[in-house]
Order: sequence, then structure tokens, then C-alpha cells
Amino acid sequence: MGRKLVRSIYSFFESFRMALEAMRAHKMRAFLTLVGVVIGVATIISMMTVLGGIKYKIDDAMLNSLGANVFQVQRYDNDAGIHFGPRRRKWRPKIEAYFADELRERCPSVRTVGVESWSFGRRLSRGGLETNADHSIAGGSVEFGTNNSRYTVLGRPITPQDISSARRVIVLGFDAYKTLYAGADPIGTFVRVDGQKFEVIGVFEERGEMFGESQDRENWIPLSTFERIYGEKSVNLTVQAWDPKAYRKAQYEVVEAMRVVRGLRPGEENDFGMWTPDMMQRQFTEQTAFIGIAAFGICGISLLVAGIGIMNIMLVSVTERTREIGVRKALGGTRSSILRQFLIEATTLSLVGGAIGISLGYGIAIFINQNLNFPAPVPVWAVFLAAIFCTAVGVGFGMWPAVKAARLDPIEALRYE
Amino acid sequence: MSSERRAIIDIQEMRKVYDLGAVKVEALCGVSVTILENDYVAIMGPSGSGKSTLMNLIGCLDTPTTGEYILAGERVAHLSDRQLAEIRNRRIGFVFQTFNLLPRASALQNVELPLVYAGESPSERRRRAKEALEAVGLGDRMKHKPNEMSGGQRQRVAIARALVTNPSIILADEPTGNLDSKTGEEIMQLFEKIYAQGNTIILVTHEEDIARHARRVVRLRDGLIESDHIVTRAA
Repeated sequence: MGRKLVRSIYSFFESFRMALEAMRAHKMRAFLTLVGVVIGVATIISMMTVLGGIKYKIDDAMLNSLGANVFQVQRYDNDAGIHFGPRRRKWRPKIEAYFADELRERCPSVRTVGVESWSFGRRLSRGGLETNADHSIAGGSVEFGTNNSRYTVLGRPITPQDISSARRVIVLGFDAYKTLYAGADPIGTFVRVDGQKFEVIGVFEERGEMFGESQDRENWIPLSTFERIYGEKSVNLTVQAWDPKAYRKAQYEVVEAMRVVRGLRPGEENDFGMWTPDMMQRQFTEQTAFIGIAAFGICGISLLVAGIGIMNIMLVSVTERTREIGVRKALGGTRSSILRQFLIEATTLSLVGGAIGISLGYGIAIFINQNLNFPAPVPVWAVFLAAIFCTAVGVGFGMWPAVKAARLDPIEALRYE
Repeated sequence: MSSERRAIIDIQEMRKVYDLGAVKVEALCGVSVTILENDYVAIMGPSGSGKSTLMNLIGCLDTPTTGEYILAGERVAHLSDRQLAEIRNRRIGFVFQTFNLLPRASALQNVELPLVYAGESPSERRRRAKEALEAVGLGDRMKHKPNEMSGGQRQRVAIARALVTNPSIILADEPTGNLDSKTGEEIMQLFEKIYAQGNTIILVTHEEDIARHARRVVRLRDGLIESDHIVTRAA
């Protein structure tokens, strides 16, 4: 038994060596045969890597987009992503700031409720310096920092006193700080937004980019101050549950409380939106599922074509090497050893194609990701899957030629011209 | 011939019928022959005489329709493909008219091939293949590919390959058929040496000059043994 095992290991390596030699002897032929495998595998690897990169980035961004155990109540449903047909949105009443008190009262699983109101496309200036008009001003309650997981690296956040006296104070986003101060101490100095003067009391920590878009253009002023300047807009409520276990429960409670506050009858549709960080992840997963399926389709078709190519080339190879097969049989090669040799050759062929495909796919993924500023972690499962597919293609499509080779009559084979 | 030499090949009433659909062709019609250890036999006969069939049967490349074949004490007439492959590997060393070396493999790799099927370790294979190549005078050509060698050298590689498993029998099918007469003579000298070392050699040929090197000549005609006699040699 031990000897038999050792023998098959030797013959496996011998077959593998012979397979590589056969490929080296017919480089062009091998290359042409491999194109299909390369395309199939490169497609799947690059698609999976890019999707994985986007997902990774979204996960990362979503995890940091709101604080721990926080979800958001907003006027409209969040409908970012891919849409088909015209976008229709039914008008809804505003979300009012006082709803926060209602939620605090009615929802035992809720720890805090923050209120925030937004004005987008603002420009900040200081002396001769000004930012582009692509900054946001958030009028926020004291929970704004925690519930959005934005922390001040300089100075302090907004306090209840700032809000109760509607002070003209501002916590700058990192971009505004960079543009207007270039590293100088901003605390106690003044910036202007829409003609209003604000004292800088703090600076938010830098968050970086997502999809080439800076995440550091949000500036925080007291909600009361905001409403005096921009009016009472519909607000977002950021709701924090007590702990992860209470997270789901808090959402149900909030939906119920909102329905009561809005006076909705049973069966009536919610006239407010809810948003949780994992919703975007879910949306993304749903929307990219078909890209994944398409990639697998392309991969499947090219592997099928590649498999037929491999079968063809192996049949040619068996015919060309009829005499060699005869010699091998005369020297003690069994049917199973000949079968194994040709199967290993076919599999090696497709695995080499797979390896090239993986590298090429990885290269494409890196190229795409670098241009979009993503990380490019090649998913290990995709590499394994590609390897398994290639082995299956090699064994599957190599089987018939190998059986043909194994069944050759040694006498006929030796006589073959 | 001393009486204590054992029979290495014992063929009794061997028949081989090829079924060609419409007709049945009887290639061997009951051949009995015994070959002793360290014998040097030439099998001769015109084409169609059944000599190729007999050689294939002796070489365990084929099985007889009826009859018995005992090779080195083992009944081999009705073995399976796997068992026959093993017998070929251990007992028979083939030398072909067209050398039949693997074109992409070096001399050393070609000679190693039977040892691969015997399941020898790479180091053992290398050692024994080198030995066999040195024995046929090709110690300096081990890395050469067949197309980098002359016909005579190629046939020497083939002979080394046949010898490397220490088989009971060297079975040579027209070994000089593709060589000029001078080179052919050299190859026959090599066979002489191998014979002198105690090996059993069976030579299939239609050339009288070549058959003369053997110690015994078996002539076939129409699937039967026509004559079987010891070669008398000048001293």
C-alpha cells in the first residue's frame, strides 16, 4: 500500500513535468488554447475584486457614517443606487424637531435622539480665503457628534449652552480647516458662512474620501442658530439605542411612535423614512447581485468554450503521440497511468490558464481600484473557486481524450505512423 | 546447452485468431516453443508468417486465443491489462526497429521511463539509468535529446532502456533494420556483450546476417514452426 502510494506520487510528478514540457514544446498552441480560460477567470476575479473593494469601502464608510447603535428617521426614504425608469416621490410632511421628545418619551429602548437640519452647497470664508461652495452646514443638537461618529480633534463640541443661547459658534469640517487655516490654530477666530459670522470652537477629525468624494465637508453649528438663519426645515432624527441587542427593538418602537405622532391609521403607509447603515449595504448587495451573476455567466461561457478547446487540443495531442503511448504501454504503463497522464496534462493546461487569468484579473482590478481609490483585496474564495473551476474543466473536458489514449491497443499504437 | 538451465519461456499450443468481422484470420495455428535462460534466439520468417504475432505475444502486448504461456514461472496467457503491464515492466525489455524514444526527453529521461512505471524513486532512477547508459557506452550523451544523436546512438539508448529494469528477456524487433550495416554490426556486438552477461535475447528479424548472431534460429511459416535449430558456429 505504502509502495503503491509512493509510486503514484512519483508518477504524478512525472506526469506534471511531462505536461509542462509538452506546453513548452507547443507554446503558441497552448497559449491559444488558454485564452478562453484566461478570459473567464480574469473576468470573475476582476469583477469579484472590484465588487469586493466597493463593498469593503461601503462597509467601512457605513460603519463610520453613524455612531454605534444609531439609526436615522428622515422625511423621505433613502433611495441611492441604481434606478430604472423615472423617479417618483410622493410629498410627505416635514419631520419636526419636537418629534425627538416624543420618541424619547415613547421608546424605552432608545437612549438618545439627536436632531439635525442640513443646508448643502455652502461656502465658508475667512479674510481673503474661501472654500468652494460644496460644504454642508448642519444645525445639530448636542448629540450630533456622537450620533454621526464625528469627533473634534481640536477645541470642543457644541454644548447645551451654545444651543440654548443660539450662539454663533461652529465646529469646522477638516477640509474647511485645511483650506482656511492651513494648520494654524483656529480656535477663537471667526469664519463667515452666507454672510453670517461664526466663532470657531472646534475642528472635526479627518475622515478621508469615499468614491473620490471628500467626507470632511460637514460643519456643525447649533440647531437653534441654524433655524434662525435657514428657517425650520424638515429635520433628521438620529436615534441611538441603548445597546446592540436593543437596536432592532428600538427601530420597531420608533416606527410605532412615529405612526402615533403622525396619526397614521393601521394599514396606512409610513410617511417617513428610516435609514440604518446596514440598509445601504443591503441595497448594494442586492444591486450588485446581477453584476455577479453576469460575471459568472461570462466566466461559465468562456470556460465552456475553453473546455472544448482543451478537449480539441488534447485529442490532437493523443493522435500525435499515439506511438509514444504505445511505447509507454510496452515499457509498463498501465491504462490508468496513461489516463492519469493525459488528465494531468489537460488539467495543468487549464490551471496554467487559470493562474494567468487570476493574475490578469487581479491586475485589472488593481487598475480599476486605483483609479477609483479603492482597496483591492482579491477575494480568496474567488481564487479557490477559479482553481476548482479550472481543475473541473481540465478533468471534465480532458476525460474523453484521456480515455481514448488509455484504450489504445499497444500493438496498433506502436505501429502508428 | 546444460540441462540445469531453467526454461524462461514455455509456450504450449498457442493459437491466435484475429476476428476481422467477415473473416477470421488464424495468425498462429498452434505454436509450441521453449526458450531457456540465457538463450539467444532469432525468430525468422517471411511477412505473414506470424512472427510479429508471436513476438507480440511473447512481449505480453497481446494475449493468445488459446494455449498456454509461462514466462519465468508465471502463467501470463490470460492476465488483465494491469497485470500484463507489470509483467512487461519487470520481465521484458523491448528494442524496436524505429527506436521509439520519446523525442522531447533526454537520453537519461528515456532510460528512466520504465523505472518510473516500476515506481522507483527519482534518485534510484537516475542512478540506474546512468549505469545502463554507461553500459552501452553512452556515458557522455546522457543529456542529449534523440534528435541530437545518430541512429546507432539512439538504438543504444533504446537498449539501455530495455536493460534498465534488469528484465528476464530482451525482445528486439528488427533492431538493425533502420541502421547501416556497419552501425548494425556494432549493435549486434552490443547484443553479444549483453548475452555474455547472462541475459536472454530474442531477436525478430528477416535478415540471415543478423540471425547468424543468435545461438538458435526458429523459423515460422504460415503460423507454424517450420524449423528450430541450433546455429553452428565456426570456432
